Amino acid sequence: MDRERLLGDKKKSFLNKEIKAFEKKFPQFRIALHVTRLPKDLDVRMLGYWLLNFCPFAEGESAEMREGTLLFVIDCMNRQAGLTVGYRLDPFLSDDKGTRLLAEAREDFQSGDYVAGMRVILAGIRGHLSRQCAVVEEIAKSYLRAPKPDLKASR
Amino acid sequence: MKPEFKAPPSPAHALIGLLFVLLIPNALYSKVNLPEVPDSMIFDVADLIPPRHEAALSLQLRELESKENISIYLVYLEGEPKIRLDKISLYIVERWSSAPIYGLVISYPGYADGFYLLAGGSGVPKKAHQLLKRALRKAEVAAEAEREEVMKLIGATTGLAEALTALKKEIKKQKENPDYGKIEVYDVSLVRKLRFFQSKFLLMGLGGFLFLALITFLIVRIRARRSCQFPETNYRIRFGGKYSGGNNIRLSFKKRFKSEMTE
Repeated sequence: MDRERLLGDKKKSFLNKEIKAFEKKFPQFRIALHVTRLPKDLDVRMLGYWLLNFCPFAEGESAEMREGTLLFVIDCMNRQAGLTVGYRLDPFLSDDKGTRLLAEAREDFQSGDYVAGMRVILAGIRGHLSRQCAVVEEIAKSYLRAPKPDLKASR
Repeated sequence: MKPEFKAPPSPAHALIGLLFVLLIPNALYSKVNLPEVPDSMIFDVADLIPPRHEAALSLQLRELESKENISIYLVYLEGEPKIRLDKISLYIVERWSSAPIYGLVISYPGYADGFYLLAGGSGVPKKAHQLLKRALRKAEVAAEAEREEVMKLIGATTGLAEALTALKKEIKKQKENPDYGKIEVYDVSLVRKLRFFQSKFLLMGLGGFLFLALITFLIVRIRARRSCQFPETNYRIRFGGKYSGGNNIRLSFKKRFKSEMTE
């Protein structure tokens, strides 16, 4: 969402491709970006919370889609960026990790190149989630391999 | 002083000299009273060998001659001959033996070495000289095991018979297969050939490695393109948010300038 056209059209389409690639890799999750100018006292975290919970991004959105949303809010006025994630993503992306991933794009954001910054953040999140997925898969496999107790025998 | 003049040897002198050289050994050999070939293959003048042993040995030697065509004679002289044993043994063998391979064990009472061995024949090629020496050595070893003089002679004869039989088989094998028993020699040209092929093998190996690398790369790429599926999680609603509990993920990217403070 870029109502004030803070991102150029070319850059926006480029970013859209990146976002689509991300959503192809992680079909359970969705990326949303809101670039805006906020009043001085408004925090991006608060805005992200309200947007994600009470403002549907498109008509007919399912609850699952919203629970799996990563919402980036970039405040160009107060020069701050925030990330709000749905409940589905909560176990896999902690606040600390999210903050570190955002910090990687600090220089790009400072120079006003939000698209480049977003690319860096998306790459970081993609790598992190891939690793998390591998770990989860390995745990699931080891659980499947582990011998199961014979409940009938215990009775 | 008048120098002496010596006439060069005439052909007549040379002929006389040659006859002298040729006839002397014959004259010596003529002194050896050599009988006809004994049927028993054993010529024991001194009657050293007991008749029982002589009969058994004779049977064995005659069988060997008839089956394998190898003649082996045992000669025990009465006393020390005037001619050396090696020469007399050659003389005996030439007269008696008609087989392609022959052997002779000869001795006399008080012979220091115990016995003298001779083996050879037209059936033993020059290349088999080492094999022949080995056969003689085997016969010696067979005789060394015995204590008595008679048994030493018999042992040497039987040992020589076995060794010559084995020798004949070896020669036959070598005739059938020229490479039999040959030691493989390290061929330098083979190394050159290998060096020539090494570059080919290297290229093949490199090609194989690149192929494997490409396959691995493709597998990695395909795996990377594969979508990730996370498991469903049970969550608890926080801060009244239906879809998200809010996060403390924030970045301030305000430019921080160094203020030049002046006191």
